[in-house]
Amino acid sequence: MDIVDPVGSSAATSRSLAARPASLEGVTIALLDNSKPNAKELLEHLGALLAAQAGARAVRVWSKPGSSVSATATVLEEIARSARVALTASAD
Amino acid sequence: MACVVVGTDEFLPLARAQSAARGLPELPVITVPHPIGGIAPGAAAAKAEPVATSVLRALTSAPSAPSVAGAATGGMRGAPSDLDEFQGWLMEQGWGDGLPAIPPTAERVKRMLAGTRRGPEEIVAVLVPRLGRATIEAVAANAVMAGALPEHMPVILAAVEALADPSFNLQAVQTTTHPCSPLLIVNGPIARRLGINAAGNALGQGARANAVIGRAVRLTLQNIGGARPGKEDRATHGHPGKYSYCVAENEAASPWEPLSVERGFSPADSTVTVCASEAPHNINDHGTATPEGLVATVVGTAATTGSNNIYLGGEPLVALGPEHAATVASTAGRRTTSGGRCGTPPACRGAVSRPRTSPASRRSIPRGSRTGLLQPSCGSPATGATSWSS
Repeated sequence: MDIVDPVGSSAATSRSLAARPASLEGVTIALLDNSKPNAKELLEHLGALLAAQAGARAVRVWSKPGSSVSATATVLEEIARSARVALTASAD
Repeated sequence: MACVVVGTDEFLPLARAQSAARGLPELPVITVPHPIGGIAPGAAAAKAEPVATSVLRALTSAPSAPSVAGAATGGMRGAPSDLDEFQGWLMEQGWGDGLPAIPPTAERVKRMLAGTRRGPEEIVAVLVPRLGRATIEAVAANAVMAGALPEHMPVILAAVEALADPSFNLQAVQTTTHPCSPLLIVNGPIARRLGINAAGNALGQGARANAVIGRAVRLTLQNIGGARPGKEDRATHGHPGKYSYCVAENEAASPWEPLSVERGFSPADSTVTVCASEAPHNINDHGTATPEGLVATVVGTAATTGSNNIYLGGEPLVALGPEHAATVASTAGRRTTSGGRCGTPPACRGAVSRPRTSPASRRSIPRGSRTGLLQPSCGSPATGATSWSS
């Protein structure tokens, strides 16, 4: 028996990841807090560890307006302007 | 910008699905043991230490080459002909909801397509998180599986359109840990014509239209939208309405104008309003005969510790039976900012989702038009009251 695929096609298009720096020496690390409890604490500690281990210049934190909504375009643009690498969160 | 996602292991399937849907399946995801919430902040922070080296490597290593997208392309699939075998096979594909489903053969889907004048290739919406193209044909296949009839298609399609309205925030509703599911509230002539139950047990079993319309929309969200339970759908407990959640407003017994009219449509329009909702919670009050008393009972029931609407803010949906509705509406001058409907006007900040309304009858709506979709302002009391006989 043949059936009509109930999943259908996807509008996803393939993209390439950004090039990585060879090291974090002197770069600014962006942390995007997903506004879930303790996410900021985890990311900040991770940022501090990376800075200590790899010589990052600075670690800066941005937040989403709420855990169930996307980061604003303004925040994303600011992160892109300000930092070379970013850590985002997906957790609870 | 080089980016790495840091998550808990429970959220890995969702993070992977999200990166794939955004065309970046190779996006590094580094996980720590779940959870980070509900534990001491120091304990959450300490989870960073074992993964710091992995994160550093992911941020500084050349990414692997992009793979060719392996997304399903639609069309026909081979399936077991035996109906009993088909049920198990469907679950293995991740396309079922646990209840028996009808195979969406080409013949059955063709009959379903007779319920709409729209072409099978037309894209109704692109549904997140998968960015699945909800073509008329793909929605019809899910409608067949749900046991829907061709005449149910206009309601199903209107609901899918409303769910995809950006301000509804389907992304959050599909993937949140909050056990909510879109409740479909049908207004207008089509509700009566299809026999959508607005009376006793309206939110329960026993009415075919309610059951199959709600189920068709749920299967569409799961399959085309790619929100599979326990994977991308992160609901902690779920709720029974996630099988099917559809009701009509008892307009004849309501002392107020229909919800659809309150939201800007004509009484002659047939509409579907979608509202991300938890499971129903009964409000028991057999004694109060005053509007103030009944409203106090409603508020006292809603405002309980642990309620999402209290914890994060939201828009509670209050459904009154005709007797209670008559009591609340009985005192002249009681119509307030809630439009005469009973409920608490909460702050919108933090709300996962807001109700959307979409026309179910396309006869008066230009083909392909989004006309009629409302944009309620944040902060307005968006409580909708459905009323039915008890």
